[in-house]
Amino acid sequence: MHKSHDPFERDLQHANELENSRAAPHEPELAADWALRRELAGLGAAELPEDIRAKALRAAVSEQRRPWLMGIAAALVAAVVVTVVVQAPVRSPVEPPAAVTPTAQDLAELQFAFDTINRTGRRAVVLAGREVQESLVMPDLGLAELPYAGYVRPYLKRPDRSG
Amino acid sequence: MGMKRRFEQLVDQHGSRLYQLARLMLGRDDEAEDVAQETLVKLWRNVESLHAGQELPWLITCTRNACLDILRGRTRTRGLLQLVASEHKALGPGTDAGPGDEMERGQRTRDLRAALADMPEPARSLLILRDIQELDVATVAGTLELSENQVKVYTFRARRQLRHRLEEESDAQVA
Repeated sequence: MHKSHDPFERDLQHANELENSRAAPHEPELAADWALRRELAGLGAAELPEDIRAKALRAAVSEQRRPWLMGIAAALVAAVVVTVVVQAPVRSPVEPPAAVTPTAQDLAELQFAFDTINRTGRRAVVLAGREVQESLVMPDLGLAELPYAGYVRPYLKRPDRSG
Repeated sequence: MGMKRRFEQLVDQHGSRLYQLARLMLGRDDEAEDVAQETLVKLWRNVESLHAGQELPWLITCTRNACLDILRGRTRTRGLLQLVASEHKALGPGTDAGPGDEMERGQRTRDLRAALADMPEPARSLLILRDIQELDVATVAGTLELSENQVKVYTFRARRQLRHRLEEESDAQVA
């Protein structure tokens, strides 16, 4: 066999030779390598402990269930949120109305409205008084028996509406 | 096929190989069990996105990375207390430990495992994957991001380095 001077190529040839040989090579160093290789191959497999296998499968199953648990948790949270939102107006106390700060224009308009009501009210009373006064029966106060009745009587006369 | 069924098949198909890889890299049963379980849980989370044929390289990479993280942590915290603890939790007898008259062979196996666990990376991973687990060159090359020729040569060199270490230890014991 051609022997290479390149260490990598030389070791590659040795590696291939060891891999392909069913019996120990003649060269002592290679024969020792070959024997160690066989010894390593005979170290035997280690079985995965049953409890580790079971734990891994259990972990997988529990993780598979996790989306369901997350779904249930999400549904619970949603239910709580909906309940809180629905009950919130019932529970919350009646809030006081917000304070109003009238402007000068508002006050002026308000004053104008009061004045209008006042004027209209007074006029309505005067008109109503005129309308009903004639129908009213003047009570007999017995003025004639009082002293100086002549001085008081003119003040109790009905106003003259003709003029 | 259902995702759960596929996962179970992958666990049964590759679980032991992953556990053995972790056990040989770490030299401790308890840590190897943790790594195997962690890797399998990761497999479940990713099983849907893994294409057929990608699973084994992916699993080996996951396992190896987890082991390397632990080994790096060990290097940082190495001290007397850790060495004492390791004595108590070292590898158990395993499936190949011989009883009684096979004590010598058992000792040789332990020496081999200890020497293997002390090998640097990627030599240790190459010896485990190629010589012990007998994975094909292409899979190992893909997993370790090496060319196929690199896998062959580096494995050859790693094996020779391991042999020299074992011989030196043996010579030291005789002396």
